Amino acid sequence: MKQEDAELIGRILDGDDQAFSELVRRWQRPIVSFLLRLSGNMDDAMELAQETFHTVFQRVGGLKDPRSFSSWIYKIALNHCRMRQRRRRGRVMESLEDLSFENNELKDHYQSLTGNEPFSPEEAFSAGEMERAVRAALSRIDEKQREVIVLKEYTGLKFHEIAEVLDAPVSTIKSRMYLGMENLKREILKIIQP
Amino acid sequence: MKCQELEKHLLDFVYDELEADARAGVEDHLAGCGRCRAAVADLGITRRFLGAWGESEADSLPPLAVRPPRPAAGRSRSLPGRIWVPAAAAALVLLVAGVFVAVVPVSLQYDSRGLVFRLGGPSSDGIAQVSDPVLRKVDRMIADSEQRQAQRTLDIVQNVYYRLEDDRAKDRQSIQQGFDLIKEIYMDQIEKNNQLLEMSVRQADYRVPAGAK
Repeated sequence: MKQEDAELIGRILDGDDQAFSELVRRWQRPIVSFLLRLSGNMDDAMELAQETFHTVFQRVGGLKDPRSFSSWIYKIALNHCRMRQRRRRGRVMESLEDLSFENNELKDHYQSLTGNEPFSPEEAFSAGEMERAVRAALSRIDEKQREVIVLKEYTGLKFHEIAEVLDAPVSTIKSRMYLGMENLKREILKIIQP
Repeated sequence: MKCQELEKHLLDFVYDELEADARAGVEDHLAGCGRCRAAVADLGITRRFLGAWGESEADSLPPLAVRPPRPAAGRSRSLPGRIWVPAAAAALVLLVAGVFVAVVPVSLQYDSRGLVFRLGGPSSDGIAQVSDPVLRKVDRMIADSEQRQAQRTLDIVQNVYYRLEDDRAKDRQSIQQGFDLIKEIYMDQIEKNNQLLEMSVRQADYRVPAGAK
């Protein structure tokens, strides 16, 4: 994958328009998916992805090691997302603070998740509600912890790559991750077991 | 391996980023430590929660229509091409203005007419020190133009004043006429009322019996 990215970047720098389209196609889903989980909003995620790709192509000539492209593009996406959130300070990303679950459906789902049985498609019955709970819980935890969790869980980056994206030591990243997972679980339980 | 040491490897173990040897060490410890097994299970539960936020939304996306400017190879922070054109034009204008100022002496003076920009450098009468006949002519033209403009402004102000005076006189006349008309109507009405009143009194006087007076 890294080799393919490096080749595409080389072709882009040689003026190959096709390579540019291929790179967008290749990275669109991971970047939008990442930004969606970070911003909590699909429209924002799409716009931020556009801005991310614009920045990528403005600065790709300065990328020192094309093999570290994945960390680099996530870093750009993250910076765009942070800038937007700073501009909207005070406004909750997607206000799910008042979310409450009064039926037992979610509790049943929680029990199935905490049990030994693997997550099965049959459980998708309440997966939508579960997804909302995760979104809400993520929006309630510390921003830095959320960034690490989203990078780790939804991008497939390794801890040392996340450290590159966030410009922090690996030990700090792991510490944020551990605390973030604790807080996240607590928030999810608050939502589903009020 | 002790519990404290395992804590350092806990996340690497859960996310499968450990070398085989280290992984075996962690597994050995977990086999005999319920507290660490619970910590691993806890992380696993939270991960399963996170897995509930599926990929469906991002999967069904339409392709992004991204058309960024072409990158400049070998340049770390190249400006987009569209910035260079206006920047070059602005530089050219500044250059021409600089050359003009260097070759042609100019002066700025503030007098009763306001801020005056003059070609040919500062002078008490404006044109005394101007050696170039062309510049002298330009300066005279500017002075003439200023005089004409001042005269024109004065004419306009006078016209407006006379027109206002006329309007005011007409207004005064109209008001006076209106007042006279109202007065005439009012006096007619008073006279008619007096006549009616007098007639009514006469009639009443006539009807009253002689003994009642």
